[in-house]
Amino acid sequence: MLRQVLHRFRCLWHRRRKDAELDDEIRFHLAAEAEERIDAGLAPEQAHAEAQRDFGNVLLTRELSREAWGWAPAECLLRDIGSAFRMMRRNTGYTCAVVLTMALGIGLNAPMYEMLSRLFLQAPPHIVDPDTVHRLWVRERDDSENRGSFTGPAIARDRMQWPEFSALTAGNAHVDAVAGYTAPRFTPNGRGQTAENLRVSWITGEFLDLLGVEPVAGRLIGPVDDDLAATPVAVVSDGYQRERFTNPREALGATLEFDDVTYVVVGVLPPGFSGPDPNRADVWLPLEPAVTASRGEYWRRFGSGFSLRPLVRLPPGLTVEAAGAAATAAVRVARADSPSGGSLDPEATVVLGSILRMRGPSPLPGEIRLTLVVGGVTLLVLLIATVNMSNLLLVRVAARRRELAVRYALGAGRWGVGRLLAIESLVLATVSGAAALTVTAAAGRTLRLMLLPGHQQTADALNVTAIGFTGIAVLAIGLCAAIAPAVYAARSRQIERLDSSRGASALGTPVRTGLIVVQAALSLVLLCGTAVFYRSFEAARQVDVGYAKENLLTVELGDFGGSPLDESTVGAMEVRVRNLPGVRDVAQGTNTPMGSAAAGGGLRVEGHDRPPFRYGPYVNLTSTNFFEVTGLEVLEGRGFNEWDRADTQNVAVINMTFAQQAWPSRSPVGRCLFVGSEATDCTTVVGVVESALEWGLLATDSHPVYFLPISQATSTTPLSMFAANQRVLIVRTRDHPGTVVAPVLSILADLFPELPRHTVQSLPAIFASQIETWRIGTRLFGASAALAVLLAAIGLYAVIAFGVRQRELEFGIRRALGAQASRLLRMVLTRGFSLAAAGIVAGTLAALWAGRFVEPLLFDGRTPRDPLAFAAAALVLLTIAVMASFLPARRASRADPRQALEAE
Amino acid sequence: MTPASPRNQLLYGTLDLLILRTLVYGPAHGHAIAGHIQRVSEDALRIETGSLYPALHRLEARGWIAAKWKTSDKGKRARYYRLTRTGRRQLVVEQSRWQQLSVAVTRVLRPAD
Repeated sequence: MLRQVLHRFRCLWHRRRKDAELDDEIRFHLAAEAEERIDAGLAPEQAHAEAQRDFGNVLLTRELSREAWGWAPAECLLRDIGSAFRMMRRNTGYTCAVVLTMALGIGLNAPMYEMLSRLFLQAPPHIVDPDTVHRLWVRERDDSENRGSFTGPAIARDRMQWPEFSALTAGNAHVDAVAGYTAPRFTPNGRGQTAENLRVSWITGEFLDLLGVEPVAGRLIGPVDDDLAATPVAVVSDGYQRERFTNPREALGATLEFDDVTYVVVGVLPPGFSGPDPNRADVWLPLEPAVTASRGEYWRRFGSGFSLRPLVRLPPGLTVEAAGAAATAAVRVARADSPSGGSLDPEATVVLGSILRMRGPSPLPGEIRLTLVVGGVTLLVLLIATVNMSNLLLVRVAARRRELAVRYALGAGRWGVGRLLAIESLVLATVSGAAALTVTAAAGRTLRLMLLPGHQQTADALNVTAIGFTGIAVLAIGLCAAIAPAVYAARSRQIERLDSSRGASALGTPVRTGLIVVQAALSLVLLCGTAVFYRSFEAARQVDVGYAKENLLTVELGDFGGSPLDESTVGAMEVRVRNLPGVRDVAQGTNTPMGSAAAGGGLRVEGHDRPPFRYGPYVNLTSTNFFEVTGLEVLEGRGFNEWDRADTQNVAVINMTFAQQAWPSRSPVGRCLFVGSEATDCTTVVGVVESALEWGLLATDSHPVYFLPISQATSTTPLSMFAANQRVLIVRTRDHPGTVVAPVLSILADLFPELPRHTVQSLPAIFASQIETWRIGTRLFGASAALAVLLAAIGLYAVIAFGVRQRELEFGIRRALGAQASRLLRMVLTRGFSLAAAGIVAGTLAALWAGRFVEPLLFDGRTPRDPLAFAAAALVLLTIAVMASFLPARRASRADPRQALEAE
Repeated sequence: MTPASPRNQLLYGTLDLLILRTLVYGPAHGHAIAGHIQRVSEDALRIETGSLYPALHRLEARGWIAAKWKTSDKGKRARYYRLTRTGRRQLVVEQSRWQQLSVAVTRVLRPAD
């Protein structure tokens, strides 16, 4: 068997030599035959002639012998592949367009598929038996009105506060193991501007053991390490180790410093491991020492602000429901037992979910939604590319009607012609697939970094999943694209005659026009998406956040080690920054604009027994020039001035939101605030400023804030401690704030050597990150739509041009009969126009339906069914369609009547 | 793609058997094989070259015979075929099949005996 196969391959390989040998063999036979006859007495000439005659058809013998070599099918295949390549060469422009789109379509879909499968399908790597590991979700209602009744909408969070978590471990003997961790957070390793920001996750001692991960070097963090008395240890990721050491063993014994605690690296985790989340982590630290160092010793209480994500591993036989019920009981008991637990919903239930967080009961976060939409868009591009390829093959089939008719006449079956088309299609798809791998390698990583920047990346974008996806896509697309042409070819078999004249009706036009309409419709969907996202992007970009954000830079001082700020150093810093070229002015505050806000609790408001606010209020202690520098407009009364000193009347400025919620119907100026729960001294409201948007971009995102002058935050006021520990310099620059970052950093290194780099931030950068979703959406939709429209134009051009060529005679006759050129022009243009119009109708319906997927991503609840956006998209498509049909239309209008008459 | 010609089918199997049997006496080229069959059958069986060479190449592809270029006794290069071990085994199979067939045909032709 093997020998036969080898023999066949040898035959195929040495085809030329075998052919020559066969000729030699036949020649020898003829010579031997002739010789025999000469021996019998015939003349040589006659002998040769007779030998030749007796032999019969040499060609046929040779053909039949070759067939015996067994590579006839293979030869056919090679011939078909050759013909496919010839076809591609002849249609260079169109082939290039198809290969380009297919390459982009497949090449972008491969990393998208890989990304989505890691979010939704594949359990994270290096976790043993991931199906038995579950995430705990606490489903509870918020007391949003702060009235002691839990009537808000039910929200599921995969987080628990420490008392709830420890109740699980204490009382829940049913589950095999319980562990907790925190999502990786940037934490500087060491101090100063050279301190590296690492992604740090805090874990309980059982965590790594529960997941079942094996270290590649050293050991894991165990329960003994999760203790304040133990030597602080850390384990690091493979990625962290690779960037700094040559092999994992070298990393052991290295030290890291977070929040002034030194940790010794005792283990390195395997490549690709990122815990149960796809979010990348560099370092894992034992919970107790890490949280205590970062949060102080009160993190174990309710309301400390610390929470962790719990995981359980269920033993065989224990159902998800039973475990959930046990966990629910434990959490309720923990809440009931604690006095401060009373501010939480006592009816909370615990639900066990998949280890894949995105499958959990909570709605998908925006970045994941965007990723899904982008996946849909790339899929659409792929679909368009497939339709396009199908169209190219169809045009080819139509152009080869005669050839196909001859093939049929010679007895080629439907099957044979179908195979030919399938092979052409597969060759085209394979070439595109090869190009797609280049696209994947080049763009895959960028795409992943853009959409999911914080996620664990596999080292190479061109990995097994991506290559496998490409292979399957090539096969599926190659076969799918061949269906329409093959059906058409099979149908034309019955209709087509060998003598089909040029004037015969353009066969296959319904299929081809259908494909063009589909293509136009899909392009319209993408155009609508672009328009809708662009409108959101523009609206978000033009949001007035209150601050004059374009030229602001913030420098966050303090909040390290808890020691009070040295006012003279802060003052020196301010003076040096103010003297920098390019700096207009510098103000001080305690909050970073668009970054942080401090809850100013303990405030009493004149006329109210309890604070009249839903959230907040927040407090900001500022220098007198704060409002001028930040650009917050004073709407009523006045801002601070140099007369507001420690020895003058205490004053406050409030923002509009504060004013509206505290005194909705009366002027706030002159009213009293009592700062501090025991305070009896009136702090007079002297002014109202516009509300700034700190975290969101919607008007509802503005919070009540009151401002107090730093100069009055003396030791007698309860907020003095706060002012002494926290300070932000707000720098107003002449040009883009990016230009003064470097000199500010060098001053910072001089005066505050402990502070890390990221204390200096520019507001335009913060703002840009807030509108990132719409920026990415607009770009991706725009690029995809441009590609789709280009393809639709090429496809439309091909169909119309082909139709015109088919009807050239008809146009000539029309001209001869007196039709005007402009009339013919209009006739063809109308055809292109009506195709596009059909596409627009279909596309509008599709876009209306698909709108639901992008709706949650749009700015400020904008509708994806925006008439203006739809109109713009339709206009673009119509223009392109008319442009694409103009060239063939002009040719039709110039059809030569003489030629037509001669042909008849 | 091209259907086998009827002439081919007529001798199918039988020709293979004859070729294999001929090669038992030692390697031979195509012309010699045809001549041998013709001689031994006393001109009753004339092998058409249009069938012979496809059959030889088919048997070679199946591994029953092997080919080699050698100089013939008349000093010309010819393609000599020889029986392989599987070919020898195949000959036994084909021979017994032929005998069964011929016995059966004989019975049909003379049912009375």
